[in-house]
Amino acid sequence: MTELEMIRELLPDAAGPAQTTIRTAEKLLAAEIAGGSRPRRRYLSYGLGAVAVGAAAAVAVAVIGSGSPGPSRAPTATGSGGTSVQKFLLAAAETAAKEPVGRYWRVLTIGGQSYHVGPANGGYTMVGYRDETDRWTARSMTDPDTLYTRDLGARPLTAADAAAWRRAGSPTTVRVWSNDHYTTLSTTPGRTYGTVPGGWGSSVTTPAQKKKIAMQSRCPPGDKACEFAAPIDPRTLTEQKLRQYLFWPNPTVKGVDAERVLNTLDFLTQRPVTPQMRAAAYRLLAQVPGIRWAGTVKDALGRSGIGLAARQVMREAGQSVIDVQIILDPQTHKVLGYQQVIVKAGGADRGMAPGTILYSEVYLQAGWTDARPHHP
Amino acid sequence: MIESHERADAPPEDDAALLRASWQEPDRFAELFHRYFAEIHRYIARRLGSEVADDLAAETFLAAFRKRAGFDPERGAVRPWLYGFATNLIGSHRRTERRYLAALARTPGDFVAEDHGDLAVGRADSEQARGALGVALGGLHPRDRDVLLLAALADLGYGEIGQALGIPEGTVGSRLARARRKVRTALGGVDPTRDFEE
Repeated sequence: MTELEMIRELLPDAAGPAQTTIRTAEKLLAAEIAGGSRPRRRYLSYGLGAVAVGAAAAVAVAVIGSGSPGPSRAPTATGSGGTSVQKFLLAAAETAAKEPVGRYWRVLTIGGQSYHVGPANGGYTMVGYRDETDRWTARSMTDPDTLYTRDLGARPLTAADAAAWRRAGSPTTVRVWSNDHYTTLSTTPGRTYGTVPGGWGSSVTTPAQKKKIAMQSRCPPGDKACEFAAPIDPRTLTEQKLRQYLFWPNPTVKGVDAERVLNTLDFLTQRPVTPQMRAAAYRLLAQVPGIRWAGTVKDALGRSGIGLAARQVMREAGQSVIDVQIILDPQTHKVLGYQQVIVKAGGADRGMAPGTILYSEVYLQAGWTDARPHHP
Repeated sequence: MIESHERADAPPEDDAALLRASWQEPDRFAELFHRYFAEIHRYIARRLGSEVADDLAAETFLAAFRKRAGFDPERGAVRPWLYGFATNLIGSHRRTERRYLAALARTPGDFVAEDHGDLAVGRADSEQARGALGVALGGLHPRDRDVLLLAALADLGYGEIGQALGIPEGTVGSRLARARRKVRTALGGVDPTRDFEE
């Protein structure tokens, strides 16, 4: 027996991780991915168990592509619309700079993903993976962060979709094609594969865990790639770093404007940063090359806001052309919603008319509070 | 449980391509988790026990996810790159590892008493050898122990170990040789001057 064999016997191979261990690790990774720095279909993986990562991964394949620029007819920020964009976002920056901070940054949001049911010429659109997320991120490292989530169950997108769904016999489960496989949506909260439970669930990140994460996120000096991939540290953030982060990989790369809009949206809604940095994010959003004025737009709750849009071709096989829209309150300039709207449907989306909301999030709240963490 | 996103009729996506895709679609990283979590966990469990491995294996993937932009496909594959994060985390548990090895050294084991004609260990000597091996491993310089255990337990080649630890292949060879020589010396009955490089 060689010493290597003896080592293998002294340190025997065990049975491998327990299922609960795998689920815990998946949950941590899913939260990290969801809170991470690159654009994605969001919130589908927050605080979920084993199935969550699967679901999030499944839906994420449809995420916006960066390889191909949108049709050239999309107006840019340099036109007269561009002036409105600049003016509006500069006003937003001024408002943001004056916002008082609190103990927690609270984001209460409802998100959902549309799926076409039935044949391309007919059928209807169902919204699945609808979940409500209430995230409380403490300003202080010595306060815990809390995340509450619940699944709301699938439902038809519009009144017309609801009528078609009823004509189909009001099925409580529908089978839909999701990127690369079929999945079954359930109208009963918590019953769709890969969603959170129907009732509120919570997960707490302790100060010790936060500290550990911050330590691990430190990058070797000069390691630019690492610095980019690391989560933003609000304590050391500068406008220069923010610009790099929002315009990743750099402002001259084309075809990723929608991702920059998403980066900015995430930054504005998810991060407990200073009013100055939030103001900077609004100013930087105005500099996204392809951003354009979309006028008054309604969010998924029917609230009216100012829409700012960027066009993108989906990366998935269908190559649907979409507009991503960030919807801001005309007065407070706060984020009301985010949506992806079909411009030209392809692949599994075929049958969705232009204007169909492919994916949406509404922000019921995104701001500082001194209240103690609780869910609605 | 987890639904596989790799259909049987489609070739699974290359690790490096997945990792690259996860720069812009972070959810794709979950697939690497599914591929390697159990393996990484088992490796850490062999070095530190399964309880510590539960935490460190999870942290390995968090750390790797955060630093995923630093992965350079020119320098090697994803699997050894992941072992690099695991090794770093194990490095912060040196005292735990020494305690773990010392405990193992005291625990009766079941070394096979076969004579392979190489390093024969008689049944009567097996307990003693076990203790000596545990002590020897615990006494190695952590740099050498990392190389030795990646070779023995993770089944990585010199080049892969070099990638995991960020050291040249030649250094892997010399550290491995040094570690094996020390272990053999501790086990006794072997000529310590013999060159054990393979």
